[in-house]
Amino acid sequence: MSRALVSRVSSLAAACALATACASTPAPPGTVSDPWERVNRPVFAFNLKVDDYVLRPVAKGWTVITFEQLRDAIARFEENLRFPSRFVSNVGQAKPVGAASEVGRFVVNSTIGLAGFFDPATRFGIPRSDEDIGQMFGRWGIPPGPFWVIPLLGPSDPRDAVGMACDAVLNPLGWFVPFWGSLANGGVNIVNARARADKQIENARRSALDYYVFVRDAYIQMRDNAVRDSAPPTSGTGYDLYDTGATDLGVYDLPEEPKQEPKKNAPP
Amino acid sequence: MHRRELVLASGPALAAALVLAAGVSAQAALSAPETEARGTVQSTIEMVLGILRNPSLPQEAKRTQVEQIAYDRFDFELISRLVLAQNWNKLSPKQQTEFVQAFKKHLSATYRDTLDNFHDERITIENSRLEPKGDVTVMTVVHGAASETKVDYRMRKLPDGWRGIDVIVEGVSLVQNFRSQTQSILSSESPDQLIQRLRDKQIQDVAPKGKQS
Repeated sequence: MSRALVSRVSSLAAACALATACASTPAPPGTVSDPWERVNRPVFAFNLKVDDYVLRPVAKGWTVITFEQLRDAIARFEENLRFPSRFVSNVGQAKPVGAASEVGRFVVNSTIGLAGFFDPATRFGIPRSDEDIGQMFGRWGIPPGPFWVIPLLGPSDPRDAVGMACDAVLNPLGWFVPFWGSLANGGVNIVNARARADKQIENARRSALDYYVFVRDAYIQMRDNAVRDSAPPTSGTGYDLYDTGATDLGVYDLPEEPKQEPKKNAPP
Repeated sequence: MHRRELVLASGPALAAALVLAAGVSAQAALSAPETEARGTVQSTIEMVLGILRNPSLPQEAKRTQVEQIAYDRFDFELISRLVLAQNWNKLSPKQQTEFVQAFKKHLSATYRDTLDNFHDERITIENSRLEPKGDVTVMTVVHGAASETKVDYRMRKLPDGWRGIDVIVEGVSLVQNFRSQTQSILSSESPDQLIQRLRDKQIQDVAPKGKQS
């Protein structure tokens, strides 16, 4: 990376951090705060319509004209392109091992892995250290702010929206190919990712009782977990399985309760 | 005179040995509950993969058998109580039973549908962690062609053995997620309407089967 780029990135990161800090309001611990719900819900419904009538049909068509190995290879190519933002985020979180590992993966996969379409690095035992700029902000203690459904882009929050913009700037394709090239690549990436996730999205929509709340909760949990690097939630700040808000739930008595059901089905 | 080269060459080997040793000592340091919970998760994974990879089993039989394993290996009453949390006591005993039954069917169908997408992914147990109240979280990774998915199982020892009481996919706890959903629904609807929503979902759950046959 050139020095000019490094300074550009660092000033951008500082600007991002400042913008997010101003935009965020702390949510009370243990509860999901959604002050923007009245705006979020209609935008969410609009995004679903766009998905139903445009993105999903296009992704279905894409699935017909491609084969699974190709879609997987394109996904790996796109993942490889996101190396700079993973690298910056690892460095920004003082993770030298993760940063070195990502450099190793990028070098191996960009060369032997034919521009990233293949992933020999994993076979060589070089692990992923998947980080993005939003996670780095989170590690710096910047709160996410309110849940925010962005038109066409989907679930986010002010911190991650700024992080996503930084991730986009850090995509090296934009440095070397003209804008329309990046745009075309972005389009293929979105359609390809939608096609690969089709079954999961279908299952999620079928499983959810309230799809908006399902997505909101999943997004908040996922990002919080990513910032914590899967460490257990510290009490009072995160989610606790048994923190049900009820004192007489009887959960701990449950193991002692005799179970009637299995006896009925027991063989004679 | 070759010492320097030897040291250089032995660097990676030494590192590998250290990693191995760390792995072995981590294994040795496993507590008894962790060993038991891991064993249950391991045997469940093997059972499910055995069914999914059995070429002589028709698709419909695979789905039924996988659903049955979900019934056996998860404790749906405890899951229901944890999901409803402070709302549990707002349900009458009859509603509680109805909710547990409907939720059990719904979750098992979800589990079955998720596994429908399985091709030849590998599943490995990566780690485990002792939790408060004697629970154990067993962490697994599903290795796909282009991605890895972290799936954790929160296990609790109940009279009939270790049972799953939560599934955490990429940091998203299923119990917590359904807790948010039911809280949101119960803030504007009655418990009966919530149970009806679950039952409506089951009709949808069965619908794709009808289309295929």
